[in-house]
Amino acid sequence: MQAYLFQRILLAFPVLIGVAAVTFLLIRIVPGTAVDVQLGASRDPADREKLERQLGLDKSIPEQFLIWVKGVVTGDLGESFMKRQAVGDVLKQRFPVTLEMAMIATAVALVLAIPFGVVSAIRQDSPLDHAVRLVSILGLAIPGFWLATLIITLPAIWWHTTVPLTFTPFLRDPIGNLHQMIFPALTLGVAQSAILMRLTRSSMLEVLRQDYVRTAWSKGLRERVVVFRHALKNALIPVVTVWGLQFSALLGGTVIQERIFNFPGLGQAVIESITARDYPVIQAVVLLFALVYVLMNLLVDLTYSVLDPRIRYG
Amino acid sequence: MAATTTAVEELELRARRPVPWAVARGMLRFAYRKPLGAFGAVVAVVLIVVAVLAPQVATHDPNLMAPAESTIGPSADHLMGTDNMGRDIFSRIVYGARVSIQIATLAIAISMTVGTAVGLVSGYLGGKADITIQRFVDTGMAFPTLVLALILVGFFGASIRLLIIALGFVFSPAMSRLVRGSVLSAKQNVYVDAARGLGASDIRIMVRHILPNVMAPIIVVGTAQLGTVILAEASLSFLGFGPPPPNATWGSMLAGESRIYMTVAWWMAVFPGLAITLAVLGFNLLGDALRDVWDPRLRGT
Repeated sequence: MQAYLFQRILLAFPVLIGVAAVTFLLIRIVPGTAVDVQLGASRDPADREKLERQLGLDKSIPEQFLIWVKGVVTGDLGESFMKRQAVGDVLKQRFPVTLEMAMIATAVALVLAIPFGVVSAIRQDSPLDHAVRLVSILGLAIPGFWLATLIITLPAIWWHTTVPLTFTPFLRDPIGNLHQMIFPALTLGVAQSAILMRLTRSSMLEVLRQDYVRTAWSKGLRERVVVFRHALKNALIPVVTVWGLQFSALLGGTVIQERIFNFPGLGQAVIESITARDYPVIQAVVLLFALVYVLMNLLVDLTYSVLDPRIRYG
Repeated sequence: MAATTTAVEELELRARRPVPWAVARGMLRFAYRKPLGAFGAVVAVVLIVVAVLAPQVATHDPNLMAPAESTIGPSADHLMGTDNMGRDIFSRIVYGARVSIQIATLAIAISMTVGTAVGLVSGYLGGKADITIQRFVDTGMAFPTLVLALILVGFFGASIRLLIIALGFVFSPAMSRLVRGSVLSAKQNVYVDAARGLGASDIRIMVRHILPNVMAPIIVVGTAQLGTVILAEASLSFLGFGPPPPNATWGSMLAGESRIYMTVAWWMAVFPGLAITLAVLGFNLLGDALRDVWDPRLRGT
């Protein structure tokens, strides 16, 4: 097991470096834009040079990359071009917001998807099954930003109230914070749960046809025991995989909801930093997302061995 | 070989060539067995037709601003009403379909081509080449898709062409993984060894023998991905990173003003959203039905 873990962690590094390098290159291929944004109207070449040196952009690209990597390894993610603030601090401010939204959305998705998916499978072709399938198909197709817009504007039309749109940090006012969070999280969670619901259903259907389940039935065990003790764990394996990948995609996908519901999270930071050509922030955020992706993959694989004892590593 | 075909050969050829009414019967059977899929197919066809014939289908110029006619509800003249600048919404939806379908089909074409090529080579060759290529694919998959698209558009400028290329490459790694998986199992078949024994080159085996047998999941996933790309393009347009004005896109129609005017002009926000939903729904349903028809064992999302 340890050897496997070690091997996976070792394999992760090329991926992370690759992602960082590609990002680095992409944003620097169009030269000088960071300087342009900051200088604005000034056409003085001396000012340009000074700014370039300040931001470290006068060196060659590979050199810049090495400096940055050295910084990352020692924990220094650089300084934001825009805000003159350490990038690490920016991340520390924004990440928890996005993380909270993603976690609540995930919780909503799982709470909706697994029970309904399971029930849909054990009562196949019942009205409930058809309803669940319909809802999940719609949930996949409805654009998140449209749903969010409707959530904000329809109550305003019908009941003359609106959802809270100013951000309160969790520590200052937990109830208020959650009250705000629930709407974007719900919007995100619905789309997520659509996929998971279908997957749970189809996976459960497949598992229920297996021989060991048939054995359990013929032993005369109650439905609850058969489903929960025997079938569910194995049915959940593909669900867990997809959920893990979804979570890492979700972190990047909160952008739209953060925009609409006005949350200062990572997604907003991405858009702001791209518009402002804030290279260090862009690089740090992309690296963070890639790191989460790699970690979630690893976590999901490890969970396999818990759910299915036949799968062992190392 | 004889210069003319014999009667037997003629009959064999005719048995294999799909006759028009056989094709039509096949489609009707598909529609009967999979009504949802047929619905999806109809939606897809309608969208493509509308997209191609946009100038004919639209009733007005989508960019013509007529302040005198702003925010009129759906009426005979303006089937879906007008927006706050007096532009006809139906026509904007029609031209938005053109943009979305254009971007989606071309992006998926890229992802299918690149993904299939990479997956085919990687899966067939195996060994070190496979591992190396998969490292690159892993790197591609580790990128947060929306963020990557935002970076590409933000730094290289928003244009339809860039969006096509960007979205095409964003969806390629997943496709290549899928193809590689299918190729790995197709490789086990006896006919591959037989072909190799007859002296067929690797390329010939890959293209002539393996590729036709992995096409089914490629088409299924490609169709479903069409819906995903439409959603992605709409999201980018909504954020302001899509095809720039004066292009009318469904996503941009939902941003900004439509929210503000929602209380007085619900049609501004409802129709574009419905259009997106319907498009994604149609392609997803079609992909699902194709999957069920071709290989019920292909479970999953």
